[in-house]
Amino acid sequence: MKRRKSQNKITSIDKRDMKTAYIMLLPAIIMLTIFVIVPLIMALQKSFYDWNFYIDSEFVGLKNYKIIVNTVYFQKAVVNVIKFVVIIVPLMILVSFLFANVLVNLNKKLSAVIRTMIYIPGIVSGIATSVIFIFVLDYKGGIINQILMKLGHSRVAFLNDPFWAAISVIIPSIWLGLGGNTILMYAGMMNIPTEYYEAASVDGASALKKMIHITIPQMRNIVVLMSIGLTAGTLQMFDIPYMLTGGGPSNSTLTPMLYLYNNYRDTSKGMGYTIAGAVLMLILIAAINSIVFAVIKSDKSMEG
Amino acid sequence: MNKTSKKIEKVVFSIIALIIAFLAIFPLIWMALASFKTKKEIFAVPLKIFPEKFTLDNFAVIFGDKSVSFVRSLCVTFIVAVIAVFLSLLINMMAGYVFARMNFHFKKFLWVYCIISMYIPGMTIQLTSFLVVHRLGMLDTLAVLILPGVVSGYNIFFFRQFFLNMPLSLEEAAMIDGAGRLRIFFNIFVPLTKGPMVVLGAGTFIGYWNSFIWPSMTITQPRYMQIMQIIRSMRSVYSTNFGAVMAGTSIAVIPPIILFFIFQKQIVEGVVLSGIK
Repeated sequence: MKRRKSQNKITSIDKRDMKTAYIMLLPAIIMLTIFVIVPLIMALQKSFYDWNFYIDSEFVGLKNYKIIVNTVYFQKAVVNVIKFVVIIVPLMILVSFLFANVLVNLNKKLSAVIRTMIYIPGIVSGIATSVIFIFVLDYKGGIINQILMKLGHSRVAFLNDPFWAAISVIIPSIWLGLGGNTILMYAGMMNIPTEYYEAASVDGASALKKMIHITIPQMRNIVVLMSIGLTAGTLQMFDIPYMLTGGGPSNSTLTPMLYLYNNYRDTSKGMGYTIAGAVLMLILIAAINSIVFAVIKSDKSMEG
Repeated sequence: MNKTSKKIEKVVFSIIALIIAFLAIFPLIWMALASFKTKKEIFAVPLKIFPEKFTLDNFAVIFGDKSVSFVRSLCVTFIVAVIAVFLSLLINMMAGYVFARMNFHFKKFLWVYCIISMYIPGMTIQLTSFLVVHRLGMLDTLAVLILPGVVSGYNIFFFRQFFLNMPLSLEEAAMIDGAGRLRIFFNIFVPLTKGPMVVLGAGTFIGYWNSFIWPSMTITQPRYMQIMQIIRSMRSVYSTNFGAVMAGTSIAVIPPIILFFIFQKQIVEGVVLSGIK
C-alpha cells in the first residue's frame, strides 16, 4: 500500500532504473503498436474512404457508414446476433446458476470430479465443436434424429430449416461455455459467508427463501460481469455459424463477424463500407464494456 | 428438515449433476467412438453405440493422405503454440512487473496504451492487421502466426495484479545487495509466479491451438497450415467419409485436453480468480 501512495513521486532509485523499465516494456509496446494500434487507426481512417485492393482510395466522408447501415445482409446479421444474445445470455446464466446450486450441495470429491468434466468442452475449439455437431445433428443418421425417430417423432432437418438452424447454433455455444460459467458461479457461491445461511436457518428460512434473499443478491456482481462478457462474446460469434451452417439457410444464422469475414475474402468488393461495419461493432462492444467500468466503480464506492 | 429427506436430496442432486456432466462430455465420446467405426456403423439404423470391431481404417486414411498433411500440421501448430506461450509469458510478465513495481515517466499513459487492447474486438482490426502483415511481407511465415497474438492487455493486467500483492521487502533486500532490476525480476519474481504462468500459459496454448480466423487469412501455403484449417478442409475433402473427419478431429482436440488434465487444478482456480478479481 505504501508503494501505491508514492506512485507519482519519482525517487532517485526510480530514476536510476528508468531505463530498465522502458527496456522491459519495449517489446510489449512495439508489438501492441504494430498489431493493435496501427490496425485500429487504419480501420478508423479507412472507414472514411472508398477503396479496395485494386482501386485508389477516395475520401467519401460518412458514406460508407450509410451504405453499411443500409446493407440488408449486415442488418440481418446484427438482428440475428442480438437474437442470439437475448437467448444465450439469460439461458447460460440461469442454467449455470442452477447447476452451481446443485454443485455446492454435493460432497466435495464428487463436485470436484464434475467440475473437471464440465470444463472440458470449454477447451475444444469452435471449429472442432461444429464438426462434432454436424455429425450429431445429421439428418439421416445423426444420433439426435435417431433418438427422435425412436420417440415417434419424424426427423428434423436441423441445418436446413431457419428456426432449427438458429437452435443448432445456440446449443453448441452453450455447450462450449457452460462449464466455465458454472465454475465461476460455483466460486462465487463458495465465497458467500456461511454465517448468512446459518443465521437464516435459525430464523427458519426455507431453501428457496435463502436463495432469493442471500444467494442472488450476493451473486449480483458475478452475474453482471458474466452477462457483459457473454454479450461481448456472443456479438462476435463466428466459428460455429461459419462451420455449422455457413450463415444459412437464407442467412438465418449470419452474424456480423461472418458477414465481415466473407467480405474480407471477396477482394472484388469495396472494403470501405466493410471496415465501417467493423468500426460500428467496435463502438457497440465498447459501449457494452464501459458498463463493466461503471459496475466496478459503483462497487468500489460502495465498499469505501 | 429431517435427515433422511436431506439424504434423498443429496442423492437426487448427485444424479442430476452426473447426468449433466455426462451430457457435457458425451459429444466428445461420441466423436471418439465414431472414429473407430466403419462407414456403415457410423450412421447405422438402429443406432450402434460401440463399433463391432474397433477399426483403425479412419486413422490410416488421414495419416496416409499426402494431400492433407495432417501430421505436419499437428507439429507446426504445436511449435507455433509453444513459441507463442514462451514469448507471451516473457513479454507480458515483464510489462506486468514494470507497471506493478517501478516508477517512470508516462506510466499512466503507457498503462492505458497496454490495456486498451482488451477492449478492441478482433473483428474490427482483422482486415487492417492483414494489410499490415501483408505490407511487412509476413504472409505465409511462422512469424505471422506467432507474433500478432503474443501481447495481451489481459495478461499484462493479470500479472500486474499478482505482482502488486507481493511484499515490498522482496526488492529492498536484493537492492541492498546491489542486484539490478533485471536480475531481481528473473531471479526473484519469475520463480514466484509459477501459478499465474501456468494459468495464462495454458490459456495461450489453447488459444493458439484453436485459432482459425487469423491463420485462414494469412496462411495459404500447406507448409504452415494450422490444425483447425486442416480440420476445416477435411470437412470438404472427406465430405462423404465422416469416420475420417471424426478421427482427425479427435486427434486435434487431444493436446489441449491433455494440457488441461495436467494443470486442471490451477486452471480451474484461474477461472475463478479471473472472474472475481
